Amino acid sequence: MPERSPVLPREVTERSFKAKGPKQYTIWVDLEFCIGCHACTMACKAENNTPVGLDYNRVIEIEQGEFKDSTKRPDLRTFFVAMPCMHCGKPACLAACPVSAITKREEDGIVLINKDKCIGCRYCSWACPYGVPQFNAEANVMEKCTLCVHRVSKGIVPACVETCVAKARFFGEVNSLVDIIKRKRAKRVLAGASSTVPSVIYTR
Amino acid sequence: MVFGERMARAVAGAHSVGVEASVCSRFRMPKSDCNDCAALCPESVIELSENGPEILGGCTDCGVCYSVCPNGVFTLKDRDDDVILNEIRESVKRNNGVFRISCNWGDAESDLVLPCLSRLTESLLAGPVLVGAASIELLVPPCGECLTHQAAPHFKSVVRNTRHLLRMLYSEEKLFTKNVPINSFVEEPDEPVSRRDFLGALRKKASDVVAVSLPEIPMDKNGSVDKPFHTVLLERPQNVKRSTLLNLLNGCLPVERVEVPKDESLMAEIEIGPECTGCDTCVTLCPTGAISRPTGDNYQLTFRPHLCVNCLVCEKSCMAGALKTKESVLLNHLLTRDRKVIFESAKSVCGICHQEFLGSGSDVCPMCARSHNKNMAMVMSLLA
Repeated sequence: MPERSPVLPREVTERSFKAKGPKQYTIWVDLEFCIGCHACTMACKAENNTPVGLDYNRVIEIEQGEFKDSTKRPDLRTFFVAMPCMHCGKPACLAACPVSAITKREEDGIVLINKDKCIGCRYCSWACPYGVPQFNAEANVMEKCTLCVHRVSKGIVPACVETCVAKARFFGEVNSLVDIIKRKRAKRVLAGASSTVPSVIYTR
Repeated sequence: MVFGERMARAVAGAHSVGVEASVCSRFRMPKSDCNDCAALCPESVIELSENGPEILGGCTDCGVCYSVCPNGVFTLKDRDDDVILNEIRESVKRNNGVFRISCNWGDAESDLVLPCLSRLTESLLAGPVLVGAASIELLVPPCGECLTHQAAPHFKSVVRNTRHLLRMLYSEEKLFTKNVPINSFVEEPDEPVSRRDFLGALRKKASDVVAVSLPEIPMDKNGSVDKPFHTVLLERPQNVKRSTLLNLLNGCLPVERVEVPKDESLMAEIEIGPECTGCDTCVTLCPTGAISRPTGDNYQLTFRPHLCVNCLVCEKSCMAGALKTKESVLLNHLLTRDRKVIFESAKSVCGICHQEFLGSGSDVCPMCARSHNKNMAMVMSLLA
């Protein structure tokens, strides 16, 4: 495994990752290794049978820098940021739902939409700072990443984590993941600071 | 549970108050803080949760919950408003002078005795003059001394609402209240009751209860059919309390326009601002269907005030803050039964998600535009 530079930024403390319930399971995405192949999106789609246009996991492409003239070296980088549901500690979607169709599980911190209760009003999508819940027009309900709760409750990692070609995604309990990151001294631990306390960890 | 056990439970904990939890505000919008039924039950036997109310053992069929709940959750199988109104009609036919109403505890002669004055609804209190009596006299004992005084505050608001109604229909005062002393002891019956008569009456009551309870025994705790929540929300069994009132007022002509403050009104009047996103939450959650969304080229919301019960679920659930209730309400809507358009907007189809959205100035719906901005903001904060 390639060397990762040391230095953990001081402003990110372990408190940001403290699980609200007994446990919080989450995904750690290493942006350094993500190659933007979208295999996670496809595996998720196959696993959860989502309709066309509705993706629980989205990969966003960002270009940084500029392609200078031929005398200078190009100073260009492309980043791919894979975004599943953040399974926040204080989910805005849960607070916004008028019929309380969204719940956060005690045993693993997974935030779930109860599709039998959902009335398709899309308040969760309005409230989510990451734009995670999406509307299924056929069923008239909102859907989002479930952290593959059907796999996790049997002890298998989510489909996106298992399939990642570049080994950029990891699954585990928040505190153990943070320990691993600190030990490997990853470049940065980014929380995507927000009042909803997102659980997903990004490193670079 | 075995059928025999269910039967025994139905007879032993018997009460003739039916519960239609699906129209309860707490069931429809779990964050609602409505607890009028539980707070006012004289026997404190109502338990509220996000499944609606449950009546525990010890219910005395007083019917106060039926009167208190604006949404019509409770139904009375024995003496509901229609049955009592028929009794009132018969009584007024015999004597159309002053019609007196009292409760079990009031020490006074009257034409109609109710278990508690808070069993009164606007229909029952205004009913006598609407069917021909000259005036109504409400005989009020000192409720504070009554053993079941918990429910007392409610009848005062029924009296106030009925006064507003009568002001709209008659030019002279029709409703009077009179203070009477309270019955502090149980009187002996005039004639002794034989054991046979007593047990016969008990047997009759038990078989009445069984006959009335049988069809209602649920197959399992959560109801007999597993329907999606959305379907249950849209079914909306009829609000008997409101339809009784509307039938009573049918054909009445007003003598004046009466506007009342929204806290003293049986209905709300709502208006919808431009913030509306067309989410239909108000339409879905309304327990009576007072707000409708007719199909058409434009997005339209219509409102029928005479069906509105002032439960405020629509106002509390609107996330955009577009729906507001007016400060004063015109009671005459109960007579005119009009339907008006309270919001209208053109629709467009989003080029990204292919869903309809309100407005005509853009190819992308606000949801997709926001999602894109949010994703970008998130990514930028990660890479900063």
